[in-house]
Amino acid sequence: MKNSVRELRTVRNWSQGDLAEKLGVSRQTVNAIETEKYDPSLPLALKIARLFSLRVEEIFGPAKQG
Amino acid sequence: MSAIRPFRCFDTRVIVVSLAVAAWLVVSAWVSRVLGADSALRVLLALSQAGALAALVFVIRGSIIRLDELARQIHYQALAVVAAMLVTAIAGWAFLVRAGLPPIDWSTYAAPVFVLAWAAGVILIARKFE
Repeated sequence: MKNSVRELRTVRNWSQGDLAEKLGVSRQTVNAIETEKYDPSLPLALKIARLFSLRVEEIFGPAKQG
Repeated sequence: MSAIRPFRCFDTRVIVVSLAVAAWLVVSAWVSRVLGADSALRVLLALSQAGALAALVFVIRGSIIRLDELARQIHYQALAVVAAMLVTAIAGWAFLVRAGLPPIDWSTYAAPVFVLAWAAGVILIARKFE
């Protein structure tokens, strides 16, 4: 799944550690989400959306086919 | 590069409980040998051994639940794969025993093999997310 977490974070000048702290997860989890190696659970996706004042589908979307 | 540390769940509490359970298994096995084969106390000791193992599983489960969601996911995936592989190995070996190969006492080997395979599984699966 594609996502724009890294862009949203860097615009705010937050480090991965800052974002991890706000979300209550490890920095490794934030890194895995940003590199699109891990799709967050629905509760965490909702938490991310709430933190950036966006809807989940504005941050996360399907990966490109092919 | 960002190293995931899924083994953080094996904290001091888990290690102390594991050592206590291991000590109890050794002591109770030794006491059990001294008792007669049909002794009611021996049955009680066997039940306490099973209970100690169940308590250890419960403590480890509680520790995994407290991990953050990626580390938890890694453990769940590793446990699922290892459980499926171990069941397949035990069932598969039973067919081989019927074909003439020597039987394996899984009651002795299943737990250590499970733990080692679980650790290896966690390491391999964690690499996927780094």
